[in-house]
Amino acid sequence: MTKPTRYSTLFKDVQELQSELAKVHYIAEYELAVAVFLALKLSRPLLLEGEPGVGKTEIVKVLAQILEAPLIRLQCYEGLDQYSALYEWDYARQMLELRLQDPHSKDPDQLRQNIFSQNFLIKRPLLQALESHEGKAPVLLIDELDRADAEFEAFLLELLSDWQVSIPEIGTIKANIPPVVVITSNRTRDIHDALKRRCFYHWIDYPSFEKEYCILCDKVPDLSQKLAQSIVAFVQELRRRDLYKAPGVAESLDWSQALLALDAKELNPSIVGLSLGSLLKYQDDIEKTRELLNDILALANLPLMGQV
Amino acid sequence: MAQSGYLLAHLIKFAILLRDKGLKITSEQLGTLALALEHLNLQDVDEVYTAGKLSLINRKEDIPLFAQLFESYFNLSFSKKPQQLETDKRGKLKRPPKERPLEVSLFQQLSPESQTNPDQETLVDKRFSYSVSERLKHKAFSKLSSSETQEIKKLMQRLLLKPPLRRSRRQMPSLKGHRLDLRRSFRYALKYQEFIKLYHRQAKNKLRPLIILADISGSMEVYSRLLLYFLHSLKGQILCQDQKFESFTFGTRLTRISHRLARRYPDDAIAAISDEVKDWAGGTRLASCLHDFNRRWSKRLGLNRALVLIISDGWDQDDPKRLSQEMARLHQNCYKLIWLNPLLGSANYQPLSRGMQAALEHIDQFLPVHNFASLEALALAFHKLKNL
Repeated sequence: MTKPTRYSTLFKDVQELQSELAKVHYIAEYELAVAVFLALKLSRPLLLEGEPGVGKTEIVKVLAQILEAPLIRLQCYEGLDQYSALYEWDYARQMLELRLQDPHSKDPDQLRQNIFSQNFLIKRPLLQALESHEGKAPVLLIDELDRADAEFEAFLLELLSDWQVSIPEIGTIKANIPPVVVITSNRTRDIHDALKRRCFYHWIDYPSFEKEYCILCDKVPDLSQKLAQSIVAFVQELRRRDLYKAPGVAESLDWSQALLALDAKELNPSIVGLSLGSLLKYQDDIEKTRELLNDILALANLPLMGQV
Repeated sequence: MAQSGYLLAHLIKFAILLRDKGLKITSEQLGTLALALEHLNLQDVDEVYTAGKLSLINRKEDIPLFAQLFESYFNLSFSKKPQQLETDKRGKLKRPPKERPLEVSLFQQLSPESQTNPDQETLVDKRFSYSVSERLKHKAFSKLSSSETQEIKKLMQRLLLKPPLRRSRRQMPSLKGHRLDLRRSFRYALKYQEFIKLYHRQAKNKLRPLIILADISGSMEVYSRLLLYFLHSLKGQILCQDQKFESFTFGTRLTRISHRLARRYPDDAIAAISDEVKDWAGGTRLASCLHDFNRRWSKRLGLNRALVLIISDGWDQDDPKRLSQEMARLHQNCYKLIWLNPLLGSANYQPLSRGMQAALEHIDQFLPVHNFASLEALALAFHKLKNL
């Protein structure tokens, strides 16, 4: 058997983790890197909150990549229950098994034990996450926990504090190596304090100008330096405005690709007006931005309509 | 044991006092405390206090009240004859002193609302006949005398406002649901090795969240205190953890007061609110406050399922066009929007103020809130909203 890999000793310091993340094209703010580093070091779950499109899910994907660990993803939704998140019995097989056995020859207790054994257990994501593969614990992503209802959070409590799951018919299943758990939330409702207590909490904010510029250059290499700078300046200015939904990093990436596809060399009012739909997703916001377009372009140090 | 008899009697008296003050103490909790005291040094007041707090109290908000009551109940009896503490054993220490007059004074000292003594209170109850309360129910809030206000407050606490239900995606066991509960059926079948009985599951219903935005500006001043009291009694009704109840006040700015309402006594809660709310009895900037709500809170509160109440007279200093926009956004995102206007109670009121005009097209129901009868009408309106 391969020796179990402990993630806690994998990275020497935060800088090392940060540069590893950069290698797989994730430019992390220092604070986020510290949060991830500590979560790995102390085997604590990490609760990431932030506006949609700031890279919450993405960090988990790249983390699995650099840890070379399997990624198990649980997308939350209202009504998510333990049958689809934890485990379920394979009833069809159990019934077949019952038919195959002669009911009179066997002790009923023995029969029950046979049927409720690991062989008939369907493992759902949370249970899968307790198993290590080739000595490596998986990375478990519990995505958009705020979409699940409060009842579901209760299932997580035991799992996250003791890395174990109790199944009445079998007993307790415990992880040999604790998995790396990241929970994300868009904050459409507040997560219960009992759950928060068990996690490291980090709020991912919109990136700074420099970070966002790096991200853009990294992800959309065809972008010219000048255009990238203008895009970032424009988006950063938009976030300062009073919009219903400010554009996230995902939107600015989309927008850069849209601008590339439109063969734009620089930002001007007409091209911005045409492609605004990839940046802003509310009609009110789009109208407001159109009205203030010249102001924002000017503030972002860009040519005005008259000069184009 | 005669001594433990004293102790128990004392505990029960203490529990009765606590219950009188509104704390919910079960006999079981009291039993636990009695058992716990067996293991403690009864001479140590701190130990007894801690044991009492541990076993009787389960809400943080109740602790100060408990501490206060504990002090007055036991300290008084302790300090009666401090010398005896040394010489005598437990029985003496816990022997109930001459309680009657003491307790009466206790009552007056501690309860801010009932300044009358218990005998008079029963008199009030007798007088409180059907016709009196009917007349009171139709009297405008702005014209109540202070004693009538007290009566209305009592009535408010009895009024049950139940928001409509929605069907959640969560399933619960049921006999007639549409989905088969294979897990239960299978476990049952295993007993008899045959599927004799099939169990089902069906969707669970949940109460919709209730979000209230209350106007506390100058023009609403005569109503706002009583309405805050009403919010407090509503908050008290929210028993299941699942149901969300959020409340905000607005004048020139929006303030969240949900956590302030958690205090047990309405007067404490309202005092805490008036400490926090900076724009009390000032102007109204409704559009700006709604904008703030839409931006900061609407996404966090699960608004799309919520029933939203706005309590305001509709006088607004902001641009009516902006108000119309913000109201449209709020209306679009919530389940139902109800506007309660105290002015609607007077027969010749017409919603002519520009703010009210702008808001009218974006609300589902427009109801008065000027007397107790209108609150009852609100409860009825809640009831009539389609469930699910």
